Amino acid sequence: MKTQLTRPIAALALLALSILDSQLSSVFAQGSLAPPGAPAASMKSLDQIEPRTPISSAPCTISAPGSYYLTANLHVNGGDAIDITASGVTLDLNGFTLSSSEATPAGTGINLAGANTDITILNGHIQGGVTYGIGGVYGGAGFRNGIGFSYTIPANVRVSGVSVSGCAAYGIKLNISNSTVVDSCTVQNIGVWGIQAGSISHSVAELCGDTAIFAATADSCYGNCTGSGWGLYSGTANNCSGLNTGSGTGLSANNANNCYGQANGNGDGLDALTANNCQGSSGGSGTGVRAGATATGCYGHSGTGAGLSAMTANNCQGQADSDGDGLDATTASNCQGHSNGHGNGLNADQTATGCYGYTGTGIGLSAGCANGCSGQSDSGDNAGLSCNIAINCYGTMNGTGSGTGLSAGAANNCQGTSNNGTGLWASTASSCFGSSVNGTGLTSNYGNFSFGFSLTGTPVIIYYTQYNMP
Amino acid sequence: MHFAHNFQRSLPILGCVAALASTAVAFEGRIQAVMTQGNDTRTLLYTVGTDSLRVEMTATNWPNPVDIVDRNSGALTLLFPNNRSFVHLKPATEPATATVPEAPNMPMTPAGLPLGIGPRSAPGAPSMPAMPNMPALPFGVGPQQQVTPAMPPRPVMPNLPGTPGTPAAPAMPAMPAMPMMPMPGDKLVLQATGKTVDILGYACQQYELKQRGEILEIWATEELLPFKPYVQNQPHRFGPQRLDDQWPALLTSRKLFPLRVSLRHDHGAERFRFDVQSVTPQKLTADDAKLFQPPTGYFEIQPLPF
Repeated sequence: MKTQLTRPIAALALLALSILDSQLSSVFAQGSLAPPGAPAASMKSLDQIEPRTPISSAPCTISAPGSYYLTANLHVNGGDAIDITASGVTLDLNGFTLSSSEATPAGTGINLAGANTDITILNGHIQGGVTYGIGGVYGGAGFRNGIGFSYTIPANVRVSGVSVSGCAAYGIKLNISNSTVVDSCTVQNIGVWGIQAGSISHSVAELCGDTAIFAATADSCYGNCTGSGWGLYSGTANNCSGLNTGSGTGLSANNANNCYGQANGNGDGLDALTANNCQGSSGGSGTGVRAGATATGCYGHSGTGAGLSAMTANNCQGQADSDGDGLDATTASNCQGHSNGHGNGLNADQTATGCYGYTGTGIGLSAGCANGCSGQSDSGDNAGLSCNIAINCYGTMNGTGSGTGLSAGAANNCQGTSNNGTGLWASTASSCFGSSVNGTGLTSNYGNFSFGFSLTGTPVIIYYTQYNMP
Repeated sequence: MHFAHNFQRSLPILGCVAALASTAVAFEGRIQAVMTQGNDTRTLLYTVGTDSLRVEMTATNWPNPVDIVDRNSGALTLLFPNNRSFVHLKPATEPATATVPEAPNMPMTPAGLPLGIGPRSAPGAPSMPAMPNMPALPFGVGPQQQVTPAMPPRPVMPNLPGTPGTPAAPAMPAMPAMPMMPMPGDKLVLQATGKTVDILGYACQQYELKQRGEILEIWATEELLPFKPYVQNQPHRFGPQRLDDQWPALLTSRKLFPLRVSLRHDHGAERFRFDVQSVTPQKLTADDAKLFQPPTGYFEIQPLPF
């Protein structure tokens, strides 16, 4: 019954709305519904903003300022592909490739001729056919240089987003002191130098016959040298990595921060004046990390050389697989040194504080003054810890060696142990304890409140004076 | 009579001239040497001309660099067979003596005791110290439970030396081997030991260098040529120089050539050796002249701008 009543009401409401809507549409109308004509141009064209000149053939010379771009891949059989002889030039390779098949490479992909300024090269590829072959030799046809300059030095140059491969001499060569920047570039199979510029960032140079990356400042870069040069050489290197698979150094920098250097041959892994949080490794007789001033938080490793060598070493670790010293420093603080062979675990010419040294047959830890240090030697007739002044130190001589656990001019609050030698040997021993299985526990000229024990030998020998001794 | 007197007076002068002439004749010929470091053995060939010297690594299938030295100016040309390039380097101005870099003052070092260890005079009687507080030992280091016993009970009082009625105390034996630390500012000086020996017919004198617990022993002669070490690239380094980096310059400055070099730890283990295998004096031929120039087809590169 209720359903029968609602149907006529709904029909009446719909009828009323349809009448009202036609009236409202005529009351509030804003104009014609016909679409307008085509919109007029409201933006400037690319040419209006920056007139650009296309380059569609090579060789070519850019002799006037302006913006240029490639329209195709370009090839030359010899000589330079593009010469830039003017200032104020932007060259966009536009994703295309410049290539050469010159049998005896002499030309340059993009040659900056003259002392010009304000040059930018972007976005493309430069290719030759030079490759790194068996026997460590670079050979093949192509460009001599990817990007370079001749005779006079250009300034204010930026190269970005360019890849270069197969060149006989240089990949990207700019002067390092004329405001030159290379970023986001890659080079590969380069006979001599990979990339040289004032500032190089986010770039990679792989398979270079001499120094792969050479810069005043290098940031987030990787260089690989196959010859006697450097994987990466820089005034300041941040977050960089250098590898040398030939005979040179992995990474070398005045200041190296968060860097890694590796030399597979006899070069140093990482060589720096100041090294922070760095790591270096030498597969041969080079030093893992070598720091002329300070090494902080570094790790160095070497096959037959020293693990880490620094003037001042803080929180560092050095490891020598063979007869080199684990860690050498003038001053070492909170460091560890490890030598598996005849070398000393840790050497500190002046002071070692909170350090630990281990060696196979050398001296575990050797220092002018050792404070809170520990040294261990596993065999031979040396010492676990040897120094002029030892304070709060511990030295141990393990194995069958006849060496001394701890040997010092003056020992204060120290402990030394040995299997067959003297546990602790000091000219002046104060508050010390020495123990030995078969040797003398403690030997001293002047003993003060010091103790010794030996299972089969003499517990204590005091040659001159003793105080407060049991 | 007068003539005889003059002749007698001139004899020593003639002798000196003859001696000078014999040493003034520059060595010309070939020298072969072997350098051993760890597992690495390198054979070096020195080809010595009157004005030039060529140093190269032989017995290898790797394209190692070759050194060409102008004996008059000291200028070095490096050949790189791996990329067929060469670079001219100006003569290095290296110091005649190597110096350990300056560093902060060292705490007073005791002296007067064996091997530079220990205080100069006997200390006064100290006050009773606290019980020894042994330093914390790193993991895996320290006395082993089964080897080193714990602190024993009160030990027997040892005989005090020098006590009346007791035998004289024995002298304290030498301290165990301890490296002599190089002091800041110390110069590494080539010390002649006075020992001489003939090696391959050349009178050699022995020299020694000591640093950081290492001893470098050199047998060198003045009869050949001033030594030039084999270098593989532009010599440049930020880090400290070690003993094995420094000895060649010391020999060069003294115009000595080594026939045998041995770098040992204080405790005897050798970690570097240089031995001359043969010395062949010979006049170089015209064909040999090309050995002292970059080969045809090599291109010149610029030195790295250090």
